[in-house]
Amino acid sequence: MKNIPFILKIAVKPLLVLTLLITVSLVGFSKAFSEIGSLRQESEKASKSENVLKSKLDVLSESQASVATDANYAVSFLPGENSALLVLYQLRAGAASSGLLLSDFKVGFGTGEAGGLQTTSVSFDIEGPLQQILDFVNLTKNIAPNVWIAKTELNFSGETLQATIDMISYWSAFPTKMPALTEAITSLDNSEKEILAKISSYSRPSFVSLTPAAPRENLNPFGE
Amino acid sequence: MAKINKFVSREINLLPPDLGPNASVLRLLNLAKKAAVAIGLMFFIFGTLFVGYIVFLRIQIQASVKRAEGLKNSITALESTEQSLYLLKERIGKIKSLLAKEAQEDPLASSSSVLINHPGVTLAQLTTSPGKINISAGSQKTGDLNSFFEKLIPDDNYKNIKLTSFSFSPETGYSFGLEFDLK
Repeated sequence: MKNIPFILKIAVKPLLVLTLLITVSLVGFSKAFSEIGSLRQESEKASKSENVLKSKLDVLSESQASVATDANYAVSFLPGENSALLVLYQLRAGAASSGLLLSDFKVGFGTGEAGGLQTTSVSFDIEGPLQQILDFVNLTKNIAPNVWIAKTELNFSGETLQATIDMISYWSAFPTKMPALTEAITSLDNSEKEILAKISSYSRPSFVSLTPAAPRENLNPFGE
Repeated sequence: MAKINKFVSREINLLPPDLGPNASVLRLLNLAKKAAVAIGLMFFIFGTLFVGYIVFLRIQIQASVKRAEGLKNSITALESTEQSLYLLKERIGKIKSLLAKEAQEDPLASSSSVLINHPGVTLAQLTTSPGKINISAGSQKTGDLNSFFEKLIPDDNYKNIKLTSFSFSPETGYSFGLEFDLK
C-alpha cells in the first residue's frame, strides 16, 4: 500500500464512486425502461380489452329486447335441423288455403354444400286449375323454411292440370361453440337488417303445444 | 470544551507543498466529484420519476382489470342475449350467401306469357328448370299458331327461343315443341 503513488491514493475513491454511479444508473434506467415498456403494453391491452367488453355490453343491452324474436325468424327461415317436415307442413297448409290437393310427397337428403349448408329435396304432385297452381307457387316464395323451385312439370289435360314440383330447401346445423367472452360482437349492419326484415315477413309454421293432463282417478275402470 | 474540540477536528496539511498533487490532477478530481454529484442527483430525480410512473401504470392496470371484471360479470348476466345475437348473426350470414346463390328468376313466374291467354293453342306439357322452359303444344289452325308466335317474340323474359320439334297430322293438326332460355 505504501508503494501506491499518492496521486492514485487520492483519485481512486472519487473515480470508484463515479464508475459505480454510472453503472448503477445505466443498469437501473435500462431496467426501468423495460419495465415501463412492458407495463405500457399491459396497460394498452387491459384498456383495449375493457373497451371491447364495454362495447359488447352496449351491443347486448341494445339488442336485448328484440334479439330472441329476431333469432327465431332467422332459425325459422334456415333451421338447424333437416327442414323436410317443416317444409311439408308449410306446403300442405299453403295448398289447403289455395284449395289444391297435394300428393305423392318424396323427400330426399342432399349432400353438404359449401358454407355448412345442407340440402333437402322435396318433390310432390299437385292438381288443380292453372291459376291456383301459379298462386300456390307464388305463395311458396314467402314461406319459412326457405324453399327454392328446382324443377316443375305441368301436364295439361282438360280443365285441371297436374303438376310435379321439385323443391330444394336448405338447413344448417347450429354452431356448437360460443366465441370467447372477451371477443367483440357487433350489432346487425344495414344489409343484415334488410335480410332480417325480409325473412321476418315470411309465414312461419305454427305449432300447437299440448300440455299433458294431470293423472286422474278412473272411477269405473271395468265399466263400459 | 467545545472550543478545544473545534481545534482538534481541524485538518492541517503538514506535507511540504512540492510533495502535493499537481493542479491539473486536482482539477480533474474535482470535476469527477462534481460529475458524481450530478449523476447521483439525476439518478435520484429520474429514478423517482420512473418509480412514480411505474406505480401509476400499475394502479391504472389494476383499475382497468377490475373494471373489465365488472363488465365480464354484466356480460355473463346477459348470456342468453349473447347466444341469441351470435346465433342470429351466424344465421343471417348464411342466409345472405343463400339468397345470393339462389337469386335467379323463378322460371315458372317467367312462363306466364306462354301459359295464359292463347286462343286456339293447346298446351300439352310445360317443364321448367333453372334458366330454362320447355313446352309442347298443338294447334288446329295456322292463324292461331301465328298469333301465338307473334305474342312470344316481343317478350323480354327470353334470351333465346328454339323450335325443338314441329309436325303436322290431318287428325290432330300442328304439334310443336319450344325451348326458352331465360335472361
